[in-house]
Amino acid sequence: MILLETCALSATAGPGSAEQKTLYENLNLKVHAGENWAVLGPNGCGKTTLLHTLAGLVEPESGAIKLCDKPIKSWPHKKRAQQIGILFQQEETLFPASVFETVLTGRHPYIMARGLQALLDWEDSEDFAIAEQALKDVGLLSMKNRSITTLSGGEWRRVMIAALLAQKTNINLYDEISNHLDLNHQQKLLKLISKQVENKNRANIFVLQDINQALRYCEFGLLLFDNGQHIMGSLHEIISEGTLAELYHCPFTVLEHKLGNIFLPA
Amino acid sequence: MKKNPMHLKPRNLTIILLLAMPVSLVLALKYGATPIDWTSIWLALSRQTQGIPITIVWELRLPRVLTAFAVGGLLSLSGALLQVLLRNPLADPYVLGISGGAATGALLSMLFGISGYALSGNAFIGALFSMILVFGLAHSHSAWTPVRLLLTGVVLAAGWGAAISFILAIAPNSNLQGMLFWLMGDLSNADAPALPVYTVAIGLLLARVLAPSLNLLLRGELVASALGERVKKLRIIIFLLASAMTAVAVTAAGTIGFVGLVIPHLLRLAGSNDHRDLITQSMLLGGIYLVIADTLSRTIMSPLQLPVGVLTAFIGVPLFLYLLWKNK
Repeated sequence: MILLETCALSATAGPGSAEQKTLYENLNLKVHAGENWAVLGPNGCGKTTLLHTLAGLVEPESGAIKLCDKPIKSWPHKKRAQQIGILFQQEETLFPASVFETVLTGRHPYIMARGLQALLDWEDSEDFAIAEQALKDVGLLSMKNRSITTLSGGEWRRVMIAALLAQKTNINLYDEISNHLDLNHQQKLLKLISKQVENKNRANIFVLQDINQALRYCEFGLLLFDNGQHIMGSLHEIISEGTLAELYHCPFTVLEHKLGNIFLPA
Repeated sequence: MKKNPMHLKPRNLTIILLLAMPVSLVLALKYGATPIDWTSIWLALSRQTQGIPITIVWELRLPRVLTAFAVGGLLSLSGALLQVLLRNPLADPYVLGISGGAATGALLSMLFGISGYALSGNAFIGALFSMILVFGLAHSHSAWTPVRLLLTGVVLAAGWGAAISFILAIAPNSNLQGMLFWLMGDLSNADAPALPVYTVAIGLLLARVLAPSLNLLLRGELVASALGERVKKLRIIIFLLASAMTAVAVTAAGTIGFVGLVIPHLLRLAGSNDHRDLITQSMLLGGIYLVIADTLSRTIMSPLQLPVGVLTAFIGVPLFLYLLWKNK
């Protein structure tokens, strides 16, 4: 079953300006249930733009996006937010709130769907249980009552991830999930999240900087080149020293290991 | 986390404020240039007496006290809303230049000898004009960022500030006292509480309905829209609501500073982060705060009356600094 589909999607950076440049064009992506996708490419190649467009936050310049067989624009916003969720690259904490309060914001699409009841009842015990489980998943349950303004960068990242997990969406988009995370949490969370879609009606798309992480947790890949071209397919088939050198404009070397090939910039 | 002993359960805080509200209103009725004893207040309120107490309570103090409460609530509510809208802890109705527009309107009226409803009307027009200017200028190529809004407001406020100084410089001496009072907030002519009271009631209701969305907007526009909010529409509603409430407040009582900035932060320092608590509490505490400040302004140097804005700052500045220091 196709969860997310793009049809002839295109985007340009700085449209109308002298530096106008094609980010991607004629992109026909099909994300099926149970799939983990990696989006790889150099800085400024359009990875984040693509993710925001897929999440329905930005109108595509041209082309169309279908969420569960329906054009994403036709989804009521609250319903869409129950289907597709996104972890942003960064988020500032400017005002005080507790860790738990922040994670509970992930339940917003469901609470508001309850209409007037939302004004009187707030979150119910199910929402609390889901938020607690999400905090447990990111290993922050013991910090539930801490103020978010006192967290370290990595802890705050995990709070953002927990809020997305609490949103319980079938399609999750992660923009550089590893930002600020220590190696232990990078590995644990990628493992947990990539396993969540197995044999389920769910899928993940990860924008990643680390090719080896992509190879370890994702079966499918989309490579965005900075000349506007793209390649997609089975990640193991499309990744080689040659394509990587072309993708990142630097030579690559490969180390063989029992866990699989490891690619390093030479 | 070191649990702050000052932190109250938000719901308990709401109950405390609900209880404090009538207490503050009754105290404000009792104290003034002419103190009235409790029996007379009771008799006057229940209309079982005649004569001076009933005149003082019903015609002088009650309209003033109700106006003070409503204006405090309005300023504090719009402060809370604008802080979310601009995602900036420093935002309040004054930063955006809305009150500056109102003040210019009012002072121009005074300069030309206009008073009463026409003066209020001009203040209201000034506020609306300022609001439309900020709204129109900050809104370009559909990008309506908090920074752009804040910058537009701050620059506009500076412009109004210059206009106010100019009017003060050319105004005849006989007008200066009234103008300065208006600029520092003046409730002594507050005899029509109906408009501010209705506005604060409607404003509270609308802001409370928006409260869950405000929580999201504090996490950022992108997060809010990813969680299903129509951010553009939401921000326009917040701006209009906050501006309308400020305009009504300024029209009724002049430019009273500090309430809109400080009250929401006091509540945040006390542990209310969720806007479903914070909105109601802001209205209540803002109202109580202004009622107390106005009562003090009438009594501490009686028969001399002080501008209420002086009191809101005299109480608020040390209190806020103390809480900030204690919470560090």
